[in-house]
Amino acid sequence: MHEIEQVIVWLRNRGGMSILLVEQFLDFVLAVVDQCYVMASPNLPYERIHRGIIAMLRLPILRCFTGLVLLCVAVPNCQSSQSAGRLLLKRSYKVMSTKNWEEEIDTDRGIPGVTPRFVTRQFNSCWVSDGLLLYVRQRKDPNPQSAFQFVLRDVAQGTERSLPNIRRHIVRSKAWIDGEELSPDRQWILVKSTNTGTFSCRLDGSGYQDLDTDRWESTCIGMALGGTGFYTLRLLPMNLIRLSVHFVKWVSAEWHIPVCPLRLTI
Amino acid sequence: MPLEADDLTIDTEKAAPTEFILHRYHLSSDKENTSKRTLPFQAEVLNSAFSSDNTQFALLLTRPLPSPVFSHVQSLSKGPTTPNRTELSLWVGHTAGGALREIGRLFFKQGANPAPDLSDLQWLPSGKRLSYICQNILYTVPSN
Repeated sequence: MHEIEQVIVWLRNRGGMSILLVEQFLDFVLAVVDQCYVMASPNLPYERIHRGIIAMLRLPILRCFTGLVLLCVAVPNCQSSQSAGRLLLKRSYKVMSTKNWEEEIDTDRGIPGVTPRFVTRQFNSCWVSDGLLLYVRQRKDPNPQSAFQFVLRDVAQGTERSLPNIRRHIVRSKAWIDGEELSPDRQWILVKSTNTGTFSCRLDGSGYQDLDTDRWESTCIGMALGGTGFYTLRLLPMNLIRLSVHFVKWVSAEWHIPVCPLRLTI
Repeated sequence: MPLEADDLTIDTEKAAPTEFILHRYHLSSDKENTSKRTLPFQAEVLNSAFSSDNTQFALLLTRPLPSPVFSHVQSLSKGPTTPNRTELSLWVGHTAGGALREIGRLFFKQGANPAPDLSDLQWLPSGKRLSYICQNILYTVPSN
């Protein structure tokens, strides 16, 4: 099916050609056509068909693709529109620009005599709900910790509000942010740090818990090796989450800790 | 919302070129289920994302164009050749089984600058939409 689609799109892109396609698979049709008419048998949209026939009678060349239930007719002034190529963006809703989500970091920060290497890193976003997006905005600040601003954006309204308490935790913990993740119930955020300072808290900043990996061994109560990573079970000094499961996964030289709070009572 | 500590991953290294393997690790029982699934065509899986309830997944596939069959048709027609392109296509499926469904696709010229990117693929909490970043713009798209 995809190769048929490629052939059709290629014929269109050559220009000077019109293709009348009779097809039963709507998804396929939408991927390749400029105009689409649905015929509900036995009722036919007569006027549309009539116009199509008049247009075809003016055509100099007739080509048939038998076996594909496809009739191709050359039209001198038909232009291709590459509708298949634009299909994903056509179906998509533009939420916002992410240009200020990037930061340029010096990977050799603090090492004397070493030429700094700047790399660009882009932060991810998290969906708190279908209409509420959490993202990290960059701002110029000499203090790298306070340069991060966590923002909640109402997608429908286009309004935003910052979450200053999370930034205070970052400044206090001296975290060098490596990304953020929401808990499955979307009430908690895990702020990952490339050095010490990984923590989680509620979106309003309450319930701060230090998840510094240096102290894992003292609190770990069980471990399991899974199919793709290493799991630890540990107690957390919290009231709401009595027992949490941490999934630790190494990707290249990095690690991350999705927090999966299980509402279990010990 | 049921909270599970299951881990879902997609593996393509141990699968045939037109297949991928869906791993599901159940933390509570320490058991792992795997199922072989078929890709819609021979392609490389660039990225994947699972819905929050773990019932759906999304795959970002890429493949060079044109395909060998298409090139053959081109050579028969004696027409101008199509420039080489890269296709990125977004597909969704159910973890329980069934065929993949295409959401849409993008074409990029090979060697394009900036390089084609479609990143930060994720599901919205309801599982009815997906979001992604393309060319520094965040989009959402219906998953049906």
